[in-house]
Amino acid sequence: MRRDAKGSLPTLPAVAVLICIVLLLITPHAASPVLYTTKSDSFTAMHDRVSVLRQVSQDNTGIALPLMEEIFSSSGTLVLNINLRDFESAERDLDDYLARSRQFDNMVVRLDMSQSDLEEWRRLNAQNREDLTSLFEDTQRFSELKRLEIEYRDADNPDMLYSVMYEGEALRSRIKETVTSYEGRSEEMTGVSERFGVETTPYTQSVDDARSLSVSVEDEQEERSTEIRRVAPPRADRSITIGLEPAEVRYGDILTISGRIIGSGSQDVALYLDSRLLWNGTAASDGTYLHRMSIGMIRTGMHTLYATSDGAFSDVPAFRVIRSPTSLTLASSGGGNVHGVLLSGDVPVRDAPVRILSAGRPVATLTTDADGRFTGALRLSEGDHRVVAAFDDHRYPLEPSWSEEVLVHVPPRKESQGVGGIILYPLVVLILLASLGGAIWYLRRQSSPSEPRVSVMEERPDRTEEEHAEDPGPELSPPTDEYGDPFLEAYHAAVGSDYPAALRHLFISLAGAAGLPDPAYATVGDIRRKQPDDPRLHAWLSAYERVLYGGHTITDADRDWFLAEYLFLREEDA
Amino acid sequence: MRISLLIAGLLILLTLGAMGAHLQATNAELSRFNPGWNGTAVFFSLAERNGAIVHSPGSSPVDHADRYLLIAPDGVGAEPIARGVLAGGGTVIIADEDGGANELLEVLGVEMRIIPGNVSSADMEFASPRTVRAQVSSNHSVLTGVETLVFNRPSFIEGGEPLVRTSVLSWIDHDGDGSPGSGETLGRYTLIASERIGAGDVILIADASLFASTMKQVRRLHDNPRLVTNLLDSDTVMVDAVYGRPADAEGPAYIVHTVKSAPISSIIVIFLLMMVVAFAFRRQIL
Repeated sequence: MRRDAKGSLPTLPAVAVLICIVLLLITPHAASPVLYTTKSDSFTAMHDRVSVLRQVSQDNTGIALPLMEEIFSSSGTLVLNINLRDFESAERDLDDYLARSRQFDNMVVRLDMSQSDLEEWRRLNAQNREDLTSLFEDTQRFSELKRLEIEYRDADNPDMLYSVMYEGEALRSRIKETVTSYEGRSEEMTGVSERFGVETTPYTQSVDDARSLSVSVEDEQEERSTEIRRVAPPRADRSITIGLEPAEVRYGDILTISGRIIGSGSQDVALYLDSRLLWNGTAASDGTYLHRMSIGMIRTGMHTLYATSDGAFSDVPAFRVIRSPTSLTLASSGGGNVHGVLLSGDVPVRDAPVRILSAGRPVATLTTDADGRFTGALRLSEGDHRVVAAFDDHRYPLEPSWSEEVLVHVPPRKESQGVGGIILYPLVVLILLASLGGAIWYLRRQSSPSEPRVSVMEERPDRTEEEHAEDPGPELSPPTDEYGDPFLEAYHAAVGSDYPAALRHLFISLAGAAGLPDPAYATVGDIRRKQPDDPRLHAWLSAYERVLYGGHTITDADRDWFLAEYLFLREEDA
Repeated sequence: MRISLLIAGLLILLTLGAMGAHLQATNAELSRFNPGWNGTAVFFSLAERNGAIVHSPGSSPVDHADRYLLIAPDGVGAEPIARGVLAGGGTVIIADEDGGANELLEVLGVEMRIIPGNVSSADMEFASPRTVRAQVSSNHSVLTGVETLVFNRPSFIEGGEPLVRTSVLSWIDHDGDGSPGSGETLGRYTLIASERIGAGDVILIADASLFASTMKQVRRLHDNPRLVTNLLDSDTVMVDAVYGRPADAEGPAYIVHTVKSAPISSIIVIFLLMMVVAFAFRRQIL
């Protein structure tokens, strides 16, 4: 009993400290307690451990190859309907064709095949897509000119008739250019397709149809021009010239358009780009005019320009917009946000849409600023996602580009992050520290008041039989006289080393004298209740409490007082 | 006292049994003593259940086998048996992916070769392009009822008549990045091929992992179970466990199996056991 009591006191705090240390050490791992999983042993050089991999059963060939054939099929019917001037059906075909092409583009990105033959096919199809879109729009507009020509002829409006003629000329030129482009890549496209075993007949048929379309547009425009010049001969007293510099431009270049009005009349000048009003201005006093056009969102290929001023029409010069490569970078900004830059060489691409894809699925479309930079948040669930940025807007004379794959970590929602990331861990640490402190405080509190009791116990109840035989020690019953007071002897024995413990002996003696049944376990309150009318005893007890529990410093005078008062009280009892 | 001795003896026997099982097991790739996911213990168990004869060290090969299956063979030790099977009009089936079988193929006069390479495909069965799905492209009796097979990090085959090929969206992933890059051309790769040699037939499978236990642990794996059943479905099928990786063992298992495979070892063990029992009776322990 004695050894247990003595041993348990230092052991308990030690165990508590050890437990707390262990808890502190394992707390960071509490969120992911798994030390080993089958996935951590999931492959060797020879095999993957398929039983722990997610079974996806992807038949991507079964999706990609039919999709390629459907794209060819859509392009075939699209050109056929354009040729037949059935623009309603052609529009449906074009929508279908564009949707399938976009689906295919996303698939190539999702399959991470951006460096494969599949990417080559995708690149060629992207160019076809531009050509077919252009072919549809230009042919539709060209057909509308027939109605306008009749309308202006009926209204006897030669200016607008010439406008129709010039626009028709511009469209004829563009359609021819588009068809040449479309036809020019057919051999390469067919070759790549055949490597995949894709049926190319609808595609080659569409090339033939596009060629015959171009021929029919040539004939129709020739006829129109001849007829308009016949019914409305050009003004002989007034003319306008136009010049372009340079003849070939790229994204970010400046195209300089200049000319001169010759003859009297208005100085107002209108420039038409691809038959659409580009600029309205006024010529200088000498009749010269100048306009600088920045090459931005304009399709690749040939474009036409002409100037008009008060019934005078210029020639229709053409310039070529050359496609430029682009570079696209993407980086995670943290918190599920990304940023990046889109450049064409050193030139920032401004106001351009950049799609962000995760597993081929668009999760955001961000727009570049004047410096080509884009930034924004992604619509992604919590966790890690691999995303790429894609720029593939065919309205720009720019090649499509994809960024490198970037890992984006989307943190848990703000509320849970606040609790989990900021509060929870420190809270756990604080709780553990508080528990540790509390445990130590409790153990100290338990041990401090009981020390005297333990000192008494050491001498009396816990003694072995042999020890009792050899050393009976002080009895707990009240002493009969001053000289035989074992408590006083114990007091004197301890007073030099541990005064509170010594004083405790006197207290127990007084408790016994007060008639309490178990003096060793009595409290000050017990004695006070037992002897309520003894002010000197109460004063001694109050002083005793201050020393034992209040930590008051004891002087020699105090010691003398305690002893004197004790002797007095004992004498009084006797 | 005797009851306590019996219980103690039983416990000792159980402990020895557990220790024996532990010492016999190995984690060597494709070893038939490897009960783990990358071993072939499950396949060999299945083969024996289906009546196949396992040709193990210390046993003599059967003379009249009409089908001889070798998994990841190394060296030309199996040549005499394979020649015998081919001469009898039988079929030799060799599954390999690291090219160790090429030497044997050469001495057998077979033109087919295993080309070690990391065949990957966009048509994947699991979340890894190395778990390639491939289609049967030609008829053969071992492919009856088989259309789609799943391979696990296969190599590919040059030569022979292609029986099973990958889809066109497949490539050799030289850089191991999981996607087709520069110099990694998309195309079809042969994963199972056959070649006629005299009266017999050699079937070459470019993936020994088809017989790994992990492939048996997936509930639905297209026609893989059917292929294995077909391969074991013949009058006399002999599965080799001597000249290839199924015979491999490491550490204590190597010693245990070396001793076990020695012809005299069984006699010695029986003799020792009899000595122990006799000693126990003599000392009146039992």
